[in-house]
Amino acid sequence: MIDNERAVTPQELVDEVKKLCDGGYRFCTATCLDQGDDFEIIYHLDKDLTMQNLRMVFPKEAEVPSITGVYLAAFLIENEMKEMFGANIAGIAVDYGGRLLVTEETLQTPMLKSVQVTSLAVSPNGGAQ
Amino acid sequence: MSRQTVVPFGPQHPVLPEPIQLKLTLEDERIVGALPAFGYCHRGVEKAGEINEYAQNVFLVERICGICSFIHALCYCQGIEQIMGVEVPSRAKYLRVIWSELHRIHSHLLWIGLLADAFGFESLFMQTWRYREKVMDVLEKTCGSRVIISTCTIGGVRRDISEENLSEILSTLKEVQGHLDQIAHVIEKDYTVRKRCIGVGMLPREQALAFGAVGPTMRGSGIAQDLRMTGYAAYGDLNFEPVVETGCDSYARALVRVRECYQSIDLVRQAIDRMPAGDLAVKVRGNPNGEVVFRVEQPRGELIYYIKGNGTKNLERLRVRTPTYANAATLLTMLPGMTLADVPVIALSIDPCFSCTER
Repeated sequence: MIDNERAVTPQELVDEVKKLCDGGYRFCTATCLDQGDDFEIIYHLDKDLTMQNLRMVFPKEAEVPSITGVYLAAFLIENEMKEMFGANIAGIAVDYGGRLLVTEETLQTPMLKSVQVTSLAVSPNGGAQ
Repeated sequence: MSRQTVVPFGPQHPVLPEPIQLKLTLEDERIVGALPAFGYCHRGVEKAGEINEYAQNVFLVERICGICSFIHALCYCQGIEQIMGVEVPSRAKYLRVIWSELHRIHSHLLWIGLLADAFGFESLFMQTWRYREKVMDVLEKTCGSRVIISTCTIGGVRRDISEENLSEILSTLKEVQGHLDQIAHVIEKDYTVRKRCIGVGMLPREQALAFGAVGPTMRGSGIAQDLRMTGYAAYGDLNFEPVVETGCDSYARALVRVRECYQSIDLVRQAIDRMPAGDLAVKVRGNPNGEVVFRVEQPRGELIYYIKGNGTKNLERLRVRTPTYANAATLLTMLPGMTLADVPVIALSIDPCFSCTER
C-alpha cells in the first residue's frame, strides 16, 4: 500500500484519470506489476508535489483502455508496458507495435516473472539468455 | 500543400551525445510532425533489479546515468530506507546534499557546453567544460572517482569529507562562480545565444503540464515545482526557492539552468556551514517488505523510483522513471512549426539523457 492510493476498475479508469486531469494533475508515470494471473498497473499523478495513485488490477488476457486520450504523455509508458509485460492496452495514441525498446531478436515480454533471465550476457543473436 | 519529407535526425548526430532518432516530417524546412524512436541503449536494468540482491542494486542504479549517478543511488537508498524505517544520521544527509549539488553543477555546465556546441559557439563550449572539470576534480578528491562516485549506501554514506576537502570545495566553488559570472553574461546578453534560443521550442505552461514536463523544462514554463521543496535528505534544513523563468522557450530553459548553478553553489555552502558531526551510516538489518514511490530532483528533473520488496533479499519490482522519459513527450509539441535548423537547440533544451531513459 502506498500513500494516496485508491483502486479503479478498467471501466472506471479513463473517467477517473480525466477527473484528475481536470483537477490540474500532471501525469508522472505508470508502473506495471506481474501478479501471476493478473496484471496490476499503478498510475502516478502529481499536483503541487503530492502524488495521487490509481491502482488497477485486471486479468492478463483482458483488454484495458489507454489513457493517452486524456494524457498524450502516457504513450511511452503504455507502449513500454505492452512490450515488456504483454499488457493488452488498446487505443494508444502513438503505438510502436511492441518495438519501443526491444527488437524481434531480443527476449520478448522480458519483465514477466515467467521469463527467467539466468544470465545478463548477450547471446549470439543479440538477446539476453 | 507542399510535399512532405521524412528526415531521420539521429540516432548518430553531432549534437546528440546519446542515441535517439527523431523522425521529422517536413514541408520544405518547416517541421509538421515529430516522433522519437528509442531502443538504441536499452539494458534491462529493471529486470536486473529483480535478479540482484536489493543491496547490490545501489551499484546497479548508479550506473543508469553517468551524469547524475549519485542521485540515482540516493533515490533508491531513500526509497529502501523508507520501506525499512531506517533513520539516516544527520551528517550523512548533509553529505548527500553536497554530492547531489556538485553533480547538478557539473551536469548543468556540461549542458551549457553542449548547447553552445549545438549552434557552433565553440569557445563557449570549451570554456564551460573547462570549468566543469574543476567540479569533477573536487568529486574525484572527495570520492576517488569522477563519474560513478559510489558514496551512497542504504543507511547513510560510505565516506566522509575531510575538513581540508570541505575547504577545497568552497575555494573551488568560489572560483567556479567567478567563471560562471562570465558564462551567465554570455548566455543572457550574447546576440547569437539570444537569436538561436529566444522563441525557439515554445512550451506554454498549460502544455508543460499536459505533456508532463519536469525539472528545468517545466520551470522554464513558469511552474514553480522542484522536488527539493519536499525536504528529502537535508534540503528541509536549507534555504531553498525553486528557480523559475516564464519565457517558455529554449532561452528560458537555459536561464533556469544557469541560475540553478548559482543556487547549487549556495546550497553546498549552506550544507557545509550547517553540517553536524556524527556517524556516517547506520547498520541496516533484514530485508525490505512493502512498497514505496520515492522522488528526488535530478539535474534534468523529477526522478521516480517505485520499489516493492517481499521480505526476501530480492525485490519484487524496481521501476525507474527518469526525467527525460517525461520530457521526451514535450518534443511532440515543441518541434512542429519550427525549422529543421532549430531541431538541435530544441532537442538539447530538454537536456536529454537516453542512457537514463532507456535504462
